[in-house]
Amino acid sequence: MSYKIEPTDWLLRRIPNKPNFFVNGRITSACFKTHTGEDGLSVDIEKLVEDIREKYNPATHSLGEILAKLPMDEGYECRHDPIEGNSSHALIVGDTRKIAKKLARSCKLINPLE
Amino acid sequence: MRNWSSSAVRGMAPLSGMPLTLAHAGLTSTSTPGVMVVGSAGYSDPLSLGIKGLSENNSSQVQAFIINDGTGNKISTERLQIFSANKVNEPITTTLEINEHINTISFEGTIIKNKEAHEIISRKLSALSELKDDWASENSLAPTETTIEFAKKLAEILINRNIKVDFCYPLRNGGIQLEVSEKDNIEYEVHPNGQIHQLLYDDENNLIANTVSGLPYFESLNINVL
Repeated sequence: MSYKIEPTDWLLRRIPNKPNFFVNGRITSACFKTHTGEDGLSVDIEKLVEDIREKYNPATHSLGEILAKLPMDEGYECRHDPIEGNSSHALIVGDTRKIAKKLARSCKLINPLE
Repeated sequence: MRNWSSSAVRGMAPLSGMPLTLAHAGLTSTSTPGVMVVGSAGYSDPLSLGIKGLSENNSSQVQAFIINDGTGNKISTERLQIFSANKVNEPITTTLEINEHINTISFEGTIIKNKEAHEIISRKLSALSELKDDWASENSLAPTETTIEFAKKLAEILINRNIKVDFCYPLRNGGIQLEVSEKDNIEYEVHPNGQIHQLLYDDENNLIANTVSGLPYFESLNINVL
């Protein structure tokens, strides 16, 4: 069943540890840019993630969270898009290059193991 | 914007450690809009100084450039000093302002700084060759050697224009993003198809311009300086 994403929902974005996408604790916008052929930016709806510890390996990825309100306020649709093996998958639909830097600046790193 | 006047004045400048002034360059101490003056400095790495005046409508601007023409690596410092004249034909006489600004720049130091900056970013870009496809997720492409070399060339051009490229990040389409710490509002993307995107942001991180071009365009920016 499809979930309706609310502005208050947190969206999770995996960020590879290598290469380094952080400078002084800040994430580069490169992590939030879609490219030709992509329907949107892949994220997970935090509320729907059953076991965040299984989902993310801190050895290979960091985890950032964005409030859905940001892309929605910019006119982007945030759509639940469950895929095989990942029922919490969602898309920030469309070309996110225009808001990539905003997403990067607002993204907060979280530690799933805490 | 009107093109430069074809009229130009050229002269040699005895500039060993002295503050650079148009008078020292043996040229007129004033520059009228549309007139280009060029001086050459006798450093071991030959440098030349160019000051251009241009006119647009009822305002005039002067731009000063520093160019290393000894090695072929050209450095341009854009808009060292810009000021306006009330009328197009009014001579620009505020050369002291230009001189004061140029005084703050060490030619030799600038060159060394640029070489170091270029070496650092080249190393970072070379490290991206270790990436394999699917490095971020399925369907993410690793940058090819061609794209990496392309990015190095762009970084070199930008650094030589005193735009210090500090950081590089892979893009999932196999491209590379270059960032400039001193200019947080600009990003450059080098794409596998050879396109270069220059992205300009406002203070609130809104994308306000996306200029698409190729490497020849960036190279020509230097060529067109003088």
